[in-house]
Amino acid sequence: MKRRGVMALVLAGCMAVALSAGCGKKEGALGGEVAESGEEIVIEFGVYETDNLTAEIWQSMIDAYETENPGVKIKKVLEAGGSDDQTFWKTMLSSGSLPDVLMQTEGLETIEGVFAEVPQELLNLFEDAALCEYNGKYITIPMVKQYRMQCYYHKDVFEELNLQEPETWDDFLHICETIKKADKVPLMCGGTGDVWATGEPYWICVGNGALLSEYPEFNKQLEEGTVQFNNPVTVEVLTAWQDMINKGYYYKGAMSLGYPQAAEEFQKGTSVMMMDGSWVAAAMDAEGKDNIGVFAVPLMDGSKTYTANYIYWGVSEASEHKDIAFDFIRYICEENPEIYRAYLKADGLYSSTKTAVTYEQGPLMTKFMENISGWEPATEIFYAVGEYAMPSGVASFVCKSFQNIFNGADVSSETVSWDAEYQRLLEAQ
Amino acid sequence: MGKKKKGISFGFALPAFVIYTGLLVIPIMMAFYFSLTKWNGFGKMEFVGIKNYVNAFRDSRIFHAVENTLVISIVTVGFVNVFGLFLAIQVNKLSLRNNFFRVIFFIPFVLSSVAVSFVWKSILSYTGLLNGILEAVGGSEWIGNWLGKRESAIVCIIIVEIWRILGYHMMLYLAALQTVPEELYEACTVDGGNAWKKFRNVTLPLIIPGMSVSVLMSIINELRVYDTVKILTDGGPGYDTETIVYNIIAQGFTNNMVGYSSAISVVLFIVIGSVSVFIMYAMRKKEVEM
Repeated sequence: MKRRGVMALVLAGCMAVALSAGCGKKEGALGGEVAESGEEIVIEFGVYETDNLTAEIWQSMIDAYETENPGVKIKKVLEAGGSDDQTFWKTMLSSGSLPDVLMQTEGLETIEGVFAEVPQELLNLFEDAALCEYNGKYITIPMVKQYRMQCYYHKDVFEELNLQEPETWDDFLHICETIKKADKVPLMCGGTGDVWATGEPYWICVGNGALLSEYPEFNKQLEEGTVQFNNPVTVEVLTAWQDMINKGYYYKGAMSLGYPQAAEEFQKGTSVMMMDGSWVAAAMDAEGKDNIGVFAVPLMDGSKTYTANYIYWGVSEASEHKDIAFDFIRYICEENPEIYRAYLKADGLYSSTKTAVTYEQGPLMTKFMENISGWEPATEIFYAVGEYAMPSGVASFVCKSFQNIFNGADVSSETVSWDAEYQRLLEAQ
Repeated sequence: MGKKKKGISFGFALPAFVIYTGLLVIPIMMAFYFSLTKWNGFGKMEFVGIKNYVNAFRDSRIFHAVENTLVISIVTVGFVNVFGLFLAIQVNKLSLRNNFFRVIFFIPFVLSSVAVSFVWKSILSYTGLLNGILEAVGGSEWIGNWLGKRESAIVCIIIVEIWRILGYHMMLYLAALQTVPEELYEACTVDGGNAWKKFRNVTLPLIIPGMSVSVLMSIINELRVYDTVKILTDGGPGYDTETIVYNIIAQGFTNNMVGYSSAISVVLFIVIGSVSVFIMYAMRKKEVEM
């Protein structure tokens, strides 16, 4: 009995120790395994994958760097997917597991101390206009430039209905009306589950440029309180959108489709047009599809402004191997242009380095760029970077509000709610 | 109890105590502390007293989330307990056929709720299986925008929740039913009791402990519903299907307002705790001694 009691105590103690050890974090997990001298150094590389940015794209970067840097192991950390990728990285951050290199700093860059200051020699590689400061420091790397969204269409239907690509907003509405009268669905968008896919494409194609034409420093003015979201331009743009929805220009089941389903339905011909990102042009070119055309949606005020953003990468401040992490990024965009080029081409992106890296564009991507030749670039207000970046959560709130508008909510009330939420988040953060 | 036995008992309880304290008690206390601060989850905390609680009670979006959560909870809890008991009675007798149905009903609960939600999302989407069947049966006017409108989206969430947890509650009732001695039914038969009287006077009083567990578990689970909502509708369209836990996560991680989201969590914790205590108390009164 005595021995059994002692054994029980020992076993209970072992269980407690084993369980508490299981709950703990492995030493050095943040920056990869801390190498004993001569041992492998592990760098974690946080990425997401899409139909364009495939596992092969990331693996080619990893393999190339590992081959040239024996002793360094790059471990890919894959974002779980879905529309809320910021939340994924924030949960990683809060659990102390943010990867050393992250290919998406959006939503995290405004939190002080998350990303390490970028060495000057790395910053020197990039276009000056792409660099942005946070509290006097450069903590993000403008890896690529993305020309955001345009309107894709089925060429055969345009031919059948004798339609031309629109030159003015009225032309665009005429096209929608003609398609509708021909008993076809003019436009497609995504809906519930992929909140961004409902109104953001329209906003980027039509609203963002119109707003910045009227208020070129909108984000700054908004923060200073000299302009509001509830302004005549925003209300006009969104009222026009709601009119289009009410006239039946959008696919009636769009709100019950996720983005991939909506994109698939458009490609199948369920709708004639769909406003979507430049990645679609890259994908269509890769597949050799020539039945799809693309045009830049003319703005309502006739101004010629298109939306383009940089995509920023960052190195975690908590990384134990920051120098190697920065070297990995430098290697991709300077030392090995082939893997950089493959990354750009796969997703219809453009280099942001001073020494431009180009690739042979397919016909649709070429057309996409021709459409905005001579137009003024503008940053998407909800994803602006630097001093006047929107508080975290505004973009998500607005995307949900777009869905309310789609379902018939009053436009002015919704834009008033944007202002209220903006103020709430600004004060809270 | 001797000192040695007490020591042994303590040794056995220690792992559970460590886990319970480390993973539950301490986080709850931390959440309460965070709820009194303005904190983005990563930087410095600023003590703000009960401001987060005051703001939470003024936030119309949270009240909307509470309304959705209550609708989902009340309907789901009611359905899974009534229908779970009904199914348990149907499969109570041991037979090969009943074993088959027990497994069939229980399978959804074993599956990952995230995976299941993705499957349901594709079924319920506008171009999904459900509309395909409805169109084949009744024509295009039968097709619905199920996930795109608030009312139907809430119903979809409820259906998926019921489908997912019904088998689990059936099992809880089945376990309770199997504790009822057969002799009591025989005595009831001798006294001329029909099926309803057997159920009312024998079954029901004796399965009250199992019923308490089932009702309590279903309430706790439904007040915390998140994953089904996240995958199926992402709280949409708009904010129409947001639940309390969805709102807590959105405030904490999307809006970087961990202090505020902690305040909502603490209120939810108190509500769940109060409901649990009330149900335990109410059900205990109805329990009968064997």
